[in-house]
Amino acid sequence: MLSLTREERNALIFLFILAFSGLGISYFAKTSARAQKLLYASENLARININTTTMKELLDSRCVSKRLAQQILAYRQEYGEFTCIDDLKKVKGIGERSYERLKDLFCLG
Amino acid sequence: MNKYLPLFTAVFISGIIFTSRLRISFVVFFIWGILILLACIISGGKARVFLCLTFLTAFILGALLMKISYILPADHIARLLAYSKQDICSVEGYVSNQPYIKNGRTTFILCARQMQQDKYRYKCFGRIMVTLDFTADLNYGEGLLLTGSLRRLKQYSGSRSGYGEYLLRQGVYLSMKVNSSLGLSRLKVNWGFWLKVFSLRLREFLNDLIKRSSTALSAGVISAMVLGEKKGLPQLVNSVMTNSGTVHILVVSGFNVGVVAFLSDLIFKIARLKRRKRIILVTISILLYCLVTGAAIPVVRATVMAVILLFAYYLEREPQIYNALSLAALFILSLNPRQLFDIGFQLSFASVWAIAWGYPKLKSLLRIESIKPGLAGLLLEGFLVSLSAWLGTAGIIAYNFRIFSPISVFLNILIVPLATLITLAGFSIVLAGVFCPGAASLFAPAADFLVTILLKLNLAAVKIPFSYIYF
Repeated sequence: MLSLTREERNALIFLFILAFSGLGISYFAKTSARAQKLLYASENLARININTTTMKELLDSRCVSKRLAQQILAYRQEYGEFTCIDDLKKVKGIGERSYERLKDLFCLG
Repeated sequence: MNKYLPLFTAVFISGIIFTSRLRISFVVFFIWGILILLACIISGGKARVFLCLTFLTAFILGALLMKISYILPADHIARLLAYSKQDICSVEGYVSNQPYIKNGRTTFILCARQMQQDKYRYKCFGRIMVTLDFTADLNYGEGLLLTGSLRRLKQYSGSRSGYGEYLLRQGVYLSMKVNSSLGLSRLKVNWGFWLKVFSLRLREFLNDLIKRSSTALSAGVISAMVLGEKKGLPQLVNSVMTNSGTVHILVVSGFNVGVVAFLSDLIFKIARLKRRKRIILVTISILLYCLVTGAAIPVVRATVMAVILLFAYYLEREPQIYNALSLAALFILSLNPRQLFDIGFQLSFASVWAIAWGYPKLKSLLRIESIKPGLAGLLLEGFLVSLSAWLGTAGIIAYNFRIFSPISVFLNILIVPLATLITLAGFSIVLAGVFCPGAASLFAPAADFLVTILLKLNLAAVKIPFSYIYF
């Protein structure tokens, strides 16, 4: 008979716990939209809300330069909220290449 | 005798630092080295003198290795470029890493084999950072003939800790820019090393497995933690974790190597292999894992340490953590002494050393010799380990990144166990995906949920005033 050490038995228990909790989470996520939002990270969680972001948040993200952050905020002040991510192309200093880099960084809220 | 190897390594490192600061000729060091070696041989009988002389030899060895790393052979491409008047040339070689496509550009490292300038053709070697101004589906090992502008890397390397400096430390001295697809011709040969081709394919396969079973955001985080694959990791996640001082969990390191060793041992045990055979196969597994994750410094450090520990078990001897750590440092620095100035190297070794040395010291300092078992004891132990690692690395982080994150000491108490669970869940997904693809979806929801908690905790932590300070 195969003899397992304490650590190996713990590993198997961990796998069972993982499988059971996975099934439980799946059940809740499938039956309730609210639970789904709570249990799974939406892609927006890893994005900056372009309509509410501040200078500090933009700079601390280390994904945009100070000048570009100023331009984004200036655009928002002048034209109001961004209605779609494509509006980023209208910001001074954002060309096609920068847009490709930035479009996954922002969301509309 | 237990402290001999750590001391030897410390002296060896000081030799590297000394040479990097002072301009002394290689020949001078070499003559000194020979004299000291002769003295070593003569004083073989006198233990103390011999010991002092071996330390001196270690110093000279470090210095010589550093010196020789600056000297390029005559057929190195960076030396051939010195004779050219114009920078447009053709280079034949092969892709030596997995190409990276972003913002319509393709970036990779090319291992040169031949270059042509004007009418002259030279056989050469050396590595070049290539940027194609268009997207191209290239693979590791693929033979290419590129025509573009070849320049020295220093021209765009600005800061001390920038990407340019990092490339120079890796032995990449030149950059090449190819503006149009006319400058790229595929040679339809593969010059890559078969083991690396295999490990890169395995990495791609495992990454696809994770992507198929998890949500996009979770898959990005899990792939980074399990496979060291950071392409799918959103920029914001990386910067938020840097700010909260928890970015270290995204680096494949000792824990991952330990999990691979444990899991492979379990599989070989189920296959009823004997102890010694199992140790050999576990060693092969962790070496393969090191290649799959891209052999970054932290994982090389952990792999060398694990191999030493496994070797000690094989010989049925007691392993010593400081000796294993010192040997890992000597191994990496012998291959490339300039890695000493790499932030990854410094953080990896400093954190392990700080935990091994600082944690017992902190325990005795706070007079908590025997922490009571239970939740409180576990939390206190976690706090002390986190504090030791933070103390060991805070200086390096503050100096290089100009950031100070006091929140990380407290946040790590929660984040480290959570990251442990995510890594274990990630490995479960990978293993299940390999042996029984349907079972991966059993583990994935739990992993996704844990990633959600991890991200929400980090986002909440960085919103606390003074949780991190840039200076």
